[in-house]
Amino acid sequence: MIHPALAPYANLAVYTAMGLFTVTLICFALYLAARTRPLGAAIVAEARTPVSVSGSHHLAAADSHVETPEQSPPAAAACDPRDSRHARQIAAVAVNLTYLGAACLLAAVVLRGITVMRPPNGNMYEFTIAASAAAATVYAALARRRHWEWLGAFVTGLILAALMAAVLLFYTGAAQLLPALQSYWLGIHVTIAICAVGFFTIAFPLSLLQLAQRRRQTHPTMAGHRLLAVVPDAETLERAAYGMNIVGFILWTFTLITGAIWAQEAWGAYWQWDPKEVWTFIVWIVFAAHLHGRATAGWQSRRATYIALAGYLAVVANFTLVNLSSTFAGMHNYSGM
Amino acid sequence: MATAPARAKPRAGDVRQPRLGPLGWGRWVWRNLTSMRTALFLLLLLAVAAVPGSVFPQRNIDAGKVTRYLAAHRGSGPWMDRLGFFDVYASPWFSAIYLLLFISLIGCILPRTRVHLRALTSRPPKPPRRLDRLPAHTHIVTAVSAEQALGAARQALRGRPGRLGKSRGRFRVHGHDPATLSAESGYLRETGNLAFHIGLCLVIVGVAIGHLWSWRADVIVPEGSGFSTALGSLDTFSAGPLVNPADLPSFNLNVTKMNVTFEDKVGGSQFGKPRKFLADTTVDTGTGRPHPAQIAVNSPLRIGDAEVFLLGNGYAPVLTVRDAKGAVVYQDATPFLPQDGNYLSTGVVKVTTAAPQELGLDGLFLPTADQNFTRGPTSLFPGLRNPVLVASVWTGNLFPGNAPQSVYTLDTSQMKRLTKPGGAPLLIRLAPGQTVQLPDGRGSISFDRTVRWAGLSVRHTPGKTLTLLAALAAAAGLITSLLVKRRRVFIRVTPDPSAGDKPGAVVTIGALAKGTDPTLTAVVHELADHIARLTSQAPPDRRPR
Repeated sequence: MIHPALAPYANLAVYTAMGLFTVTLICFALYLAARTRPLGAAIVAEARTPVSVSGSHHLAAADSHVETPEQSPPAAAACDPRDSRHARQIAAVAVNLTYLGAACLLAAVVLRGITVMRPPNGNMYEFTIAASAAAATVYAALARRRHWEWLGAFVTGLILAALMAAVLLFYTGAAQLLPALQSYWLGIHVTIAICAVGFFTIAFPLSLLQLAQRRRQTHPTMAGHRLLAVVPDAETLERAAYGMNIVGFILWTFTLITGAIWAQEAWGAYWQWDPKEVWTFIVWIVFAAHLHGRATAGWQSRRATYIALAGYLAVVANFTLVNLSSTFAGMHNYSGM
Repeated sequence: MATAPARAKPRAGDVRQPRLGPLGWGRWVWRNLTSMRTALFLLLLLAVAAVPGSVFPQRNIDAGKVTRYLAAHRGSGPWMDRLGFFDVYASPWFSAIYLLLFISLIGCILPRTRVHLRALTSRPPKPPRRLDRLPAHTHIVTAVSAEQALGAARQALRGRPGRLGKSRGRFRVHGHDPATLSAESGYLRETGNLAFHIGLCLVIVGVAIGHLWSWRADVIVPEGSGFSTALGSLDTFSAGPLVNPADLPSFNLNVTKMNVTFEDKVGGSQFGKPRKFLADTTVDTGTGRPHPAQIAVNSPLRIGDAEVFLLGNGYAPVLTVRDAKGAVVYQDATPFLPQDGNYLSTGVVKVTTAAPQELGLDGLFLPTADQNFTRGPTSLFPGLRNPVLVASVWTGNLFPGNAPQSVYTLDTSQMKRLTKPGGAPLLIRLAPGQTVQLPDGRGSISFDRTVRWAGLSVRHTPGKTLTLLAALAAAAGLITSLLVKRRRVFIRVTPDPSAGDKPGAVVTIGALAKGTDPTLTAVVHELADHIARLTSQAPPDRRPR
């Protein structure tokens, strides 16, 4: 360790981020509440007659195009002008707090890295902090651009839960690494995995919301569901989740490849069916199945979504069960616990 | 691979089922095997089938754990063994799944390659009759003649992609008749898709090459000694079926020092964790002049085709056994195998030259022994802080029937355990420099000092470069196929009926994409803008709006 004096500041940044995300979560929840109240009825009516994707005929001059649903999400999705001023203000506060929280988490990662003078990817605590930072950064970058304010409560909730697990369960003091981890591949392989987890983490609540929304769109009894009324329609949610999942899947492919290169370097075999390798492979296969299911004609997209959800659960199992349970003991015993 | 459209159900008796010959059945099996649904099913099955290999101990990873599991589960264990649960990734059912998957994959790649090659060399198809039925469409009214409008449309399609150009790519344009244009872009999408799937097949080829031609040899080398790649000097040697052992590179390797450090500054769970494993060695590749080389965990040593990996380390107590007259009958470093993170190590010493009978020690080595043995023999730290050797002593026949046996176990079936004068079993406990006299004139055992050993693995894995390149090609293909959009755009120009005598044309643009394409509508509008700009500049008749 080169700069042990910095360790407390790295922890302080994590605690600050937790505090910020708690407030952010409350703000996003208030935003959802503020949206449901005045708009509920109008949006329910709208959801029953979904906006046609190709419904924009315009005979006017070419420079006066009608905005199409694909350019900006359907009215229900946007932090749109029909939101009350109050709701818009809360959303603005929540998004700004998200920026601050993400910055805090990134600072925590950097400070931890300087403390130990190596990539801060060496144990479960560091991985969780970094993956939370990745998810927070991805969401912060997209929240305003894609009008994803309605997603904030779900994403910040997940991040907060992950940070609590990190601090309460996975905490590991700043220290140097096992010889097996002392390689520049730690910075490459694990960082790619962390980014992949960040994208999968955004896709997860999108997929859950999509299933709920689809149910609402097909079951008239659920049409009045107030929370779902302020979320975009199922098709938009599905496309959004797909966008996150393909980025995650590409990154996961590179996680596998770089992991194999590193395994060859460290253990002399690029693939030996170690439990961690097996589960990384399972995650890859499941998301590959998700993409294929989506592309299969005649396959319900609901089923493909279930597969994507199973993929995320496999990611979580790969991180928790495989690292911690002695049943899965293999060569990747780097939990630091 | 779209599924066949649903056909009208024929009434019973209407049709006679055609008899499927062997060829027909073969075709039916092939069709089903190579269908997307089957591939999807096999993919999910593969994921599920991979799970037991991470739950149950596997022979290829830890054979000892399998033996212990079998001993603990006498009822279910043998059945699970028969079903391959301890060799999942070599089991017939796991192999069957991935082989079927790859046959399915090849059955998918071949026709798709043919179709794609044809598409690459052919023109975009004719436009459908009604462009406003397409997923994205728009139309604009221009104040130019139909020919001029068509020319502008052609120019817009052929022109440089605009703001969305990155995701648009160039269109291949063809006019099937004077009033329409057909355009297609994003052929790279399918190229990437095929590259991905072909890459996966090549990964398997690379793995298979590795399986057939790779070899590995493991050896445990105490400091101050060495090994040569000549067979016999290696502890274990395993090779693929097509390896000729005569082709192994020949070299001698000596371990001069094994450098090991453990965490002693940070407390908690990190205390005692290893921090450095580095072996100082000298290598002689037959020149007669050994040169120094270092091997660390993440930096193997390359010697010709082979690589030498440092995969383990431990302690080897140096013991001297003397007979009753004080003459040395044995003096050697014996590697003990670590059993836990604090290097509590087990090992045996076999002294065949002892008199009057052969002598065996079955012992524990504790690098940092708990002073009082309050919790039995345990080690508190993996470093050498308070080394202690504890052993029971056996005499008799070390090698009953001269059968081969492991150097790490003592076969006591024809041996007797030495006892103390009172009859209790004798347990010797030695620190370095100490000597213990054995009862009944059997001589003495001295624990001289402790050296470390390096666990080295010499390996040759051909096919790994192919595997890596194929995997990278697959990844590049994957990115291309997911990010490039395959789009067809159709444009139809009709005279504007409301224009009267003046020139005027309605340009209808319709587009469809393969898969998800959230920017399709935007691309259509971009084209419309472009055409409008081109036609509004066209003199002489500009209709005011």
